[in-house]
Amino acid sequence: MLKKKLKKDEIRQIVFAALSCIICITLHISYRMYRIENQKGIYWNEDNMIDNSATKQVQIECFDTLHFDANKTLQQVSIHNPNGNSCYMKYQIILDGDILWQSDMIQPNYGFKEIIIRKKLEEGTYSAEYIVKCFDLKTKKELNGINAEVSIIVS
Amino acid sequence: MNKKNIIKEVIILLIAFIILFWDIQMYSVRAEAVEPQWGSTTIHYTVDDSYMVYIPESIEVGEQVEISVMDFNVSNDKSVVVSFGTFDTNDSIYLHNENDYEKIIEVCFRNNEGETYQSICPRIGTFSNGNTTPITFTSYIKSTENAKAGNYSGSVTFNFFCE
Repeated sequence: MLKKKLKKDEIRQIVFAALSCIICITLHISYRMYRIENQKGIYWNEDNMIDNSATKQVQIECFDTLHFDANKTLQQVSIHNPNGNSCYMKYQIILDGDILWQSDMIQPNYGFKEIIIRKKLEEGTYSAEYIVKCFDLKTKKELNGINAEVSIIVS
Repeated sequence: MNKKNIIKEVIILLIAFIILFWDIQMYSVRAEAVEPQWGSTTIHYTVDDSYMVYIPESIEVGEQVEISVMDFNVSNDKSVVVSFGTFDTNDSIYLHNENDYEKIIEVCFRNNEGETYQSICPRIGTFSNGNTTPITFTSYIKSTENAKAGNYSGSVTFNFFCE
């Protein structure tokens, strides 16, 4: 009788643990998709920080190539607002004059590892613009920004 | 029951044969490999160009402006060109009055030789592997004639591209 009860308890515990895992994974995926779909970025967890607030400079990462998957809207990237900045950043990728993707205002130490672009691209190399606009953390007034030429290699 | 046992035995035998056959095949492959074999293949991998730029958050008129790069990882045969994005006139950008957006003053930029940058040639400088020295320039007000009192502000976009 006791053995049977123990078994029942064990099963209950296993089911509970499994359900908890499923709920946690579902929540995590939903939250991640919410952040991606709403262009809000994820926490970057960047420890090495160069404090730019004293020099009133903005640190912006630049690259000349992006690699996208063909015929997909979900793409892997590595774009983030460095930890030491004291401004929001808004990112845009412009292709043929149209916005292929744009972010919300991203606070320092947040960024994107995945983005959802507005249209699927076929294999090939595309010339695009990577625009980074900066905004004051308090007033949200626009600061200086950059516009870089990038190649999107779709394969 | 007997039938079941026979089926089981047949299955076990089949598995044993498969394993044995597999092992023989592996062995034969290994045996063939004893003969000296020569060949080569080329492995390609590209590390994309990347760099970190530092631009001023805002520009104080009259003060020297500095643009620099760090973590410069660009191919030796390329350089990164920095230029002004858009000018509002041939040689200036507008700063707008913070209380009255329509009121403007014009700001120009000049290099260390005193030459004013023009919209037709907005190139400020280049960075390359042998030269990552910060680029500097200065801003000045073109004219404050008839300018309405108050604070003025505007932003500059810098273009970056590899060539």
